[in-house]
Amino acid sequence: MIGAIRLPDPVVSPPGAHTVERKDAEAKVKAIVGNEPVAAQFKEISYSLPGRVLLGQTFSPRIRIVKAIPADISQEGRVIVACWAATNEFGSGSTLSEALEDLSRSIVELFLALIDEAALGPDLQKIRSRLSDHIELRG
Amino acid sequence: MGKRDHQPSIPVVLAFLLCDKIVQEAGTGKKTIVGIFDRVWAESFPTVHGPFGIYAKLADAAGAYDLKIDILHLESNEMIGQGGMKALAGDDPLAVVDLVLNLPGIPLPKQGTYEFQLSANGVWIGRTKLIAARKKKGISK
Repeated sequence: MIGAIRLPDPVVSPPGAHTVERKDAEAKVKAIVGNEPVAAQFKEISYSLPGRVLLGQTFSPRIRIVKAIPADISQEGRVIVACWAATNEFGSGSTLSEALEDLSRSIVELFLALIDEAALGPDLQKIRSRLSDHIELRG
Repeated sequence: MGKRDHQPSIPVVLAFLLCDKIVQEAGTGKKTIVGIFDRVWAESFPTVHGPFGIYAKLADAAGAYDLKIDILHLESNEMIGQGGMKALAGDDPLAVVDLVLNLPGIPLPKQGTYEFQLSANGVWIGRTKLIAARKKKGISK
């Protein structure tokens, strides 16, 4: 029988940072893309907060999204709100991604709370059924 | 079989990293991710960041995907870059796929937080952040 090895302690350190030396960076970019400035590689892209985003990530290892969750997006002052109307769940944050991540946490909590379908009343069974159309337990 | 079985599964993002470059070994397909970073120091803004790489590892991917990366400056909600690619992940839902993108550079018009948002077939699946700030005295790299 082969014994297990003891792994060395992992090294945890802050993430890396990069310093842009402006002239150097521009020279490198020009060398790669020709004499056009790198900005020319990017088109002017207009952007506004989307009205709806399809959410496909739960950040929970226990849960898998099998059908994207439609999240309605709105802005209230500086706060962005993502709402899944079918279950009345919402999440908020200072950015769209924070709002989506908050919403996904709420959905996971709700799904796990309603896992015992037999113990639920009719209203909660409906919500549980809507959740099950979109997410499932792994394994 | 339900309707969902005919649609590609929604990938899970296991890693989403910015780095200096990604080297792919020709024979084995192994990737070497060089110089992972999440902050950029610059003397002034606007500036231009030189070549860099985007790496993502996706699990639960089976089928064909239109992958899209949107790059946003969060404070101003301006989009500064957008790119897309097609990926074919095969039929095995347990397989993982690597997304490798080496870019020539990117303009950073302002200091602040930039977010790289990843979507697959129009579904938001993950993000990573890049913080751009003025270079402080004493920081060389």
